[in-house]
Amino acid sequence: MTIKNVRPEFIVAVKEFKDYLNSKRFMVIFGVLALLTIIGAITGYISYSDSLTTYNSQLSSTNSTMNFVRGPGIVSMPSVLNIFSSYGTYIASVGAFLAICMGFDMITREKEEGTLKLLLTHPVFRDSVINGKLLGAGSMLVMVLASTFLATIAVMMFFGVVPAVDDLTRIVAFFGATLLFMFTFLAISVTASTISGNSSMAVLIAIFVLIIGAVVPDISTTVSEAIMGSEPSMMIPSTSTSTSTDNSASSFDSSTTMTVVAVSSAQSDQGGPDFRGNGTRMTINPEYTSYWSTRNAIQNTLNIISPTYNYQMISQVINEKLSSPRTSSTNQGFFIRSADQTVSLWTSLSSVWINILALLVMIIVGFGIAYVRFIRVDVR
Amino acid sequence: MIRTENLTKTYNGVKAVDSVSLKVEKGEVFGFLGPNGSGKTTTIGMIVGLIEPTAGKCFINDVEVTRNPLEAKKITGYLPDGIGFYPTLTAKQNLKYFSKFYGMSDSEADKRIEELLEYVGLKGVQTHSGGFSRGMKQRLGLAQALINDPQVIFMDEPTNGLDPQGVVQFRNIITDLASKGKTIFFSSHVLSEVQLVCRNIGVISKGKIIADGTTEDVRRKLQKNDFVTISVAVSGKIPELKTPGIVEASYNGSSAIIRARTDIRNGISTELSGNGHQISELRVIERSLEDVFLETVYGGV
Repeated sequence: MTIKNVRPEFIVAVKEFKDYLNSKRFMVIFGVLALLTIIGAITGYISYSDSLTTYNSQLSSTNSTMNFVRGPGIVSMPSVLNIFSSYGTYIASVGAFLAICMGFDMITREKEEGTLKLLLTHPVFRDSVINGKLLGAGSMLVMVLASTFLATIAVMMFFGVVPAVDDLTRIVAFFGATLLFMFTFLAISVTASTISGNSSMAVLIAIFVLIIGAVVPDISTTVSEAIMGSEPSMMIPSTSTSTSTDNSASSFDSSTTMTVVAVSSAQSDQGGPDFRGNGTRMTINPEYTSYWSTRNAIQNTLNIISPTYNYQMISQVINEKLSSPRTSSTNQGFFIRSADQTVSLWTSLSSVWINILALLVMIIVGFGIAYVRFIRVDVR
Repeated sequence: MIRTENLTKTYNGVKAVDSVSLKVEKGEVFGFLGPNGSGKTTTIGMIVGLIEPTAGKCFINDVEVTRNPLEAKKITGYLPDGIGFYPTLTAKQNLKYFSKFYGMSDSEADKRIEELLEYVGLKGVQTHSGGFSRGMKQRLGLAQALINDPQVIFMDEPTNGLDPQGVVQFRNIITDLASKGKTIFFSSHVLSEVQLVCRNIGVISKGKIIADGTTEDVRRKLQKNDFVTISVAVSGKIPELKTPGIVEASYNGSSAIIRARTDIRNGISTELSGNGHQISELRVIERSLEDVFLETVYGGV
């Protein structure tokens, strides 16, 4: 077999791909991920099976009483994608760690071992080297994810759960979202590798970003509170004699079949007109609504910088077939889904476009910095 | 074959290489001499396309390196200082990887690799290069530099850290390559090593070429403003000399060592003969290139 006219990118990519297969570090983390995938699939199946039993029993009891109303407390038909829920949790930690391990020494290792200098004296452009490396790492990530997804699907099939077409489409979308998430951490670690003088510093930078991404959703509440100050009082005496206050959030039309899935603490306290003990007519303070609207916006803006948060939002709407994420400010924490309503994948993804965009921007910026830095650096 | 024109590299406002202009003819073994940190590696890095020059141009076989780096690299081999290889690959696997960038077929590459491993004395070594000694790495480094059968070979301090046997073997390889018509650019900070294999040398100090040409040319250029040392001896006790031009003199019985600004042997001879002394020795003490090099470049260490 001849190897003439093979593009240098592919030569480097094949080498990089083989290096991962020969790397003990990579294989150990991949092994852990594979093990967690199987465990996650089995526990996911057990959870799905329980939900299905609960759903069936509640459905039969509802049908026997009032078959036209399904109010709070009645669960919707569980999705087979619930089987992926544990997997999603594992990949958010171990997967991110694997991506970091694949990228943090991509460039620094070659510098430290003196092989980069050697490689670049042969007829290959620098952009071919970095493109090849990214191609090799990307291919390996796709292979890792594909194998874990296929393993999960195999477990589903083993237990007799056959995904429908819509489920399969969502599984593919979840695969894409997971790939996007792992590519984000690959981009972060490769960037760290190109800007650092050695692998130790590169891994520290990448892990620092990972930790920041993990804690941002926790501290964003505190930060937004610090910025906005204390909340104004929720209820104020009504100056209007009208009773037309917007109370859609708390009232339910009995002709509509609704399932309340989640209600935020902020919103759950918001009610319609109230009457205090002294007989004064009370209404919701507009400043209170404005306060929470701004505070949620700040919180969500901060959360956007967290890859893990973005991934959780995206996987949530895909796997739970939601029309918007539960903690999104777009519906101010109030999330309703009709039990009989089918939420299309497009609707789900549209509600998290900002999270998808955030991950894409992180990938593009990360790889962009790595690319420019690698092209310009003097190899001495 | 190798030509640089005012090659300059500046790092943070400091000139690591300052207007270096060199010319190396085809088939020549050129010694690039200078102390550590003088700019040798940076100069070579620019010529082989690893470092982008701040100013100036470099050509290999009339191919401008910065404009056509791939064309230049196809006819160039480079053995860098502090060479490293992919530690999980064997010598053969490392060479196979590099051979792929030259579009060689598998059979061509395998044949070439076998030849090279035998040439550098690594035939049959199956261990991963991560376990190689410094000497083995240098040998493998030379093999990778020759993988494309280059016309020009750059070697950056190739004998650094080698044992005496390794140094001799490397020297023989350089001589052998030169006999095959290869142009060799060989850097070192050890003059004696360069003198043994090179006819032409260039001396770099603080980023600037301070002398180049044949070893004799370089010696003359380096001691251009130096004093002439004359050894003189007579039968009997030598008198104190009054010849004009003497800067310093030390007398020891029948002989003396005279330092003068110019060669004043005729004047000394006239003075001594006029005073009735029979001259038994009157010669200029030639300083070796090593002496001149050490004094000029290292400040007389």
